[in-house]
Amino acid sequence: MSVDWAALVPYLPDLARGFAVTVALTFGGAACALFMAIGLVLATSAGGPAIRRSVRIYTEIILGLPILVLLYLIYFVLPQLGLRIGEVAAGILTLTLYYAPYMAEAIRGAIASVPAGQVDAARMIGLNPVQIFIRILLPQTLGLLIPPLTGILIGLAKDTAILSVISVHELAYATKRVVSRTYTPFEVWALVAGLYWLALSALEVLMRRLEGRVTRFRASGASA
Amino acid sequence: MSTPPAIAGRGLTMRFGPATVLDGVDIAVARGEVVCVLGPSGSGKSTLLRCLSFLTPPSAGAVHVGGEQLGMETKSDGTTVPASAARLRHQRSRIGMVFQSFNLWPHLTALGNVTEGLVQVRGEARTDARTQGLEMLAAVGLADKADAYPARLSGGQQQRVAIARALAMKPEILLFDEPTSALDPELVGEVLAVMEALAERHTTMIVVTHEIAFAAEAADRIVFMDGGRIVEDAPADRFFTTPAEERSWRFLERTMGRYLGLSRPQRPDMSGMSRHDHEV
Amino acid sequence: MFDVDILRESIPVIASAALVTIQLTVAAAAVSLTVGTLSAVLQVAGGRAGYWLSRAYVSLMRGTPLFVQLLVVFFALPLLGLRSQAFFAAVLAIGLNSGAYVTEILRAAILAVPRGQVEAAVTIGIGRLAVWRRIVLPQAAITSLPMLAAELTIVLKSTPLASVISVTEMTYAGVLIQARAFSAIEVFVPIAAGYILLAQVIARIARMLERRFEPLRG
Repeated sequence: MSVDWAALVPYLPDLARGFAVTVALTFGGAACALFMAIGLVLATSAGGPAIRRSVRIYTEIILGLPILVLLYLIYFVLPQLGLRIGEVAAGILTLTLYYAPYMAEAIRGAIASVPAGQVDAARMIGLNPVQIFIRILLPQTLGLLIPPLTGILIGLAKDTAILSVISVHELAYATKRVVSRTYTPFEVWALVAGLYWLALSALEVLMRRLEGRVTRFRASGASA
Repeated sequence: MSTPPAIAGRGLTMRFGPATVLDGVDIAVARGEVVCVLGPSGSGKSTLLRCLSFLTPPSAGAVHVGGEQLGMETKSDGTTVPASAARLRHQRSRIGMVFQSFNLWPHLTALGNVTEGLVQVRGEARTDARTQGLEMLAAVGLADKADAYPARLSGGQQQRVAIARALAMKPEILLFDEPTSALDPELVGEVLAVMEALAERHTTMIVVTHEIAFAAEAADRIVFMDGGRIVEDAPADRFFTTPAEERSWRFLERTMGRYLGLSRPQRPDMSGMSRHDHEV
Repeated sequence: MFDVDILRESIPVIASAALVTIQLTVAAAAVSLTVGTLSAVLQVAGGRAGYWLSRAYVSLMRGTPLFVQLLVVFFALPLLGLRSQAFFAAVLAIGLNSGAYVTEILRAAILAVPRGQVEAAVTIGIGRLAVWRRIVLPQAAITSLPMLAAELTIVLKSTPLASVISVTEMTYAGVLIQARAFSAIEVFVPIAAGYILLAQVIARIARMLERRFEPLRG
């Protein structure tokens, strides 16, 4: 194996730019997906039977559908139905539609741990479903919610690489461009794998810190 | 008719699948009246409260609060239509409810539990809400526990906070769903004392309870339920001395004889009266 | 909008590519289960070196995108003196990736087997290897059956990534047809349905197995 790492140095700025886009896609996609997930949870808890059924069917479909196929459906099929959509928008939309049901499931699981009586009490006071979710359910379940959401966030971050197939200029796309000029595919891809590993490990540590903070707040709160 | 009852349920029926838990119950409570609902477990008492509060809307029947039908609203053209969710929340805020398991929110302090509705629902300023909340906590004897989290409070204290939380919304009527059943025996007294004080101030209350002594002491009227129906609805003094119904009598004999050692109520002489059968 | 002719032409191609998808799924799952089991055993009973080797493997696989892993494996094979064969690289990459998750699933299940059982086996003279093979692993497999089934679905859902190294499985076949026909809807809608169908089949089989092994679960 002859590997010439030094030859890669001139391309580092390209990779750095791609990395920045990957980070932006990750947090942008995660924010949209979280927003939609909360919508799904509210829809199933406060919506009528028709809404509940459609959410269930949608969830069922996503659980069986590869994200790459969803991406192609959005990027190639939507324009045919008259909906023009750019690469980045298609990418964010794919991440959102794909990850929202997973996040909704995690939120639902955490919320199920709150006794139903607390929601009855909140309804008797007159809180609306959104207030009940934000004021009563979420603060209690944040500590429970962060570990599964971390797993989902990391999955989402890794799947941003797939968006390179529709030419979103993120890290994997930048890598392909570098490979096409250096002709050292193994070295470049291995280097980028290391980069992903470092970034994702950092993200995991960050989320664990956050979890520690949330639960510490609860512990100190209860003893105040 | 001058003033409508504070709360009235008519023909309240609740079915869960094949089971009929509540079977055409009529109940009306006047302003300032204290009504205790007694009956064996599974008789539909708690379901009655959940229907009256519309936490579980009844399968059939109607609830009126101060003359206004819960879950319905009258449009400007006089037609009545199902109420919007927001309208129903507003209607429901006229009712306060205290639960068997307290249902305090564990991430909020005692004061936070009491002021949550004032700030979030009534939109009151935090400082105003705080003043009122402290007042309510003082009323239940817990002014010094304002900053304590529920986990740090005894069951009796938690239930008193829950009462303060309900009172803070200034409800026209308070529903109590077995408020002392989840408490250790030595903590029951402090909660009953608060409820007795409320009764003395003529707070409109419906209390589902197993505390016969409290009912005898505080209630104006007793509603006795069995099998999802009201068996007897009578002034408290008459109910405890001369219940009209065989089943009421048997219930009293069992509960009072066992727990309180009170004098055995006289068996009603039914030979001369024409028994009106509620079960028809 | 929906051209039935394109559909009629593409269905046979998609169907034969679906066969590749199934082969890829089964082969990768076999690699995943083998590597995952070894890695889980190594982590629980492999001493300090075994533990860290397994942890490093899991961390590497979970901490990098499968998309990148596929390319690394694909381009590493020639450096190792092997002919770079796309299907083989895809099986290896998807299998190794999934093996990390299988490690985590089995590790938890192995630790859930009461120690007393192992001690009982040892006292009646059953050898170390036999204890693993006959007592610990079968129980771990049964308790983790639902999660292993979910992992198999994930393997299925990962196979389209093999298209980045030009394995003509169902999704890549779709891309190729689509490029020729200039129409996507008749291609990707049946493909999406195909994946959902295959996922349903896996769920069905998993439920059947679960019911079959239900009496054996603690």
